Amino acid sequence: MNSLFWSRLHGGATHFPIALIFAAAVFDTLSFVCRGSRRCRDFGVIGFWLVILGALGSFGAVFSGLALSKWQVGGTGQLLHHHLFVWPAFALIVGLATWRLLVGYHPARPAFRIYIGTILISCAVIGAAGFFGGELLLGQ
Amino acid sequence: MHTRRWSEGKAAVVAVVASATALLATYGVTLIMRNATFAMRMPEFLTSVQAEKVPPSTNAEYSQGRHLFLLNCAHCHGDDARGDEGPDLHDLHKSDVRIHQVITSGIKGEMPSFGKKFEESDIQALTAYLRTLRS
Repeated sequence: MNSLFWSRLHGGATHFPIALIFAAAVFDTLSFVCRGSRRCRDFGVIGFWLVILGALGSFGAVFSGLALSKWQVGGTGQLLHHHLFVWPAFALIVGLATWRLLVGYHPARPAFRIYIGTILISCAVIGAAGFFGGELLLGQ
Repeated sequence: MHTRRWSEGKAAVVAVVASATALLATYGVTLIMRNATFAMRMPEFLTSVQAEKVPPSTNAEYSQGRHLFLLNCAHCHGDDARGDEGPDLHDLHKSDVRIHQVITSGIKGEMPSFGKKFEESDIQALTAYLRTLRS
């Protein structure tokens, strides 16, 4: 299997967890902001499942990317820049999903505030990883 | 799932452990796969090392070209430009115009275009660097 195959697979596999984590951040933030109503509680449930699915999807994204980069965890140039953001993002996603899985749909508000702050930081890190990944694959 | 099963603090500790485990497991798999890949490519690697030579010039254009190469091209063509997924770039039998065209437009399905990324001076420096690559 050549790099073009892995490039396409990685491109496809990566966008699912990115979209899921970004959507989880939106729904969890909505759930946190408009507390009380039934709809807001539903947002929390949606956020819960989105972050779990995003974390599961991130494994596919990471391993297809590693295969593409010939199993380099660092690399040089744009690849190194990409990896400098990918690894923290991966750790954050797995940690957030694990925490959410353990505490359930509606955690206590002080802890949920920290969770939302962390998932928003994760989105920024994911965005940076995606930017350098795009630079790497598209060259523009 | 509707009721909380773990306290937030305890869950945070488990989450940190899960993160670290995921990273370590990924690194472990990476090491295994890299060694397996390296073992398969050992003869090619030895040939590459034996053929390695010192670059003939070290002027500013060469340095800029090499810097750009390592930043943008090395992950496909190899750090030594002896080819990896992309082809070996030593002893290119192509005109400067053709090299310029490939860099700016890419090759459909094989190589991305860098026309919007590189300025003219960058492409000249890259071409100068590629011209120094001799077997």
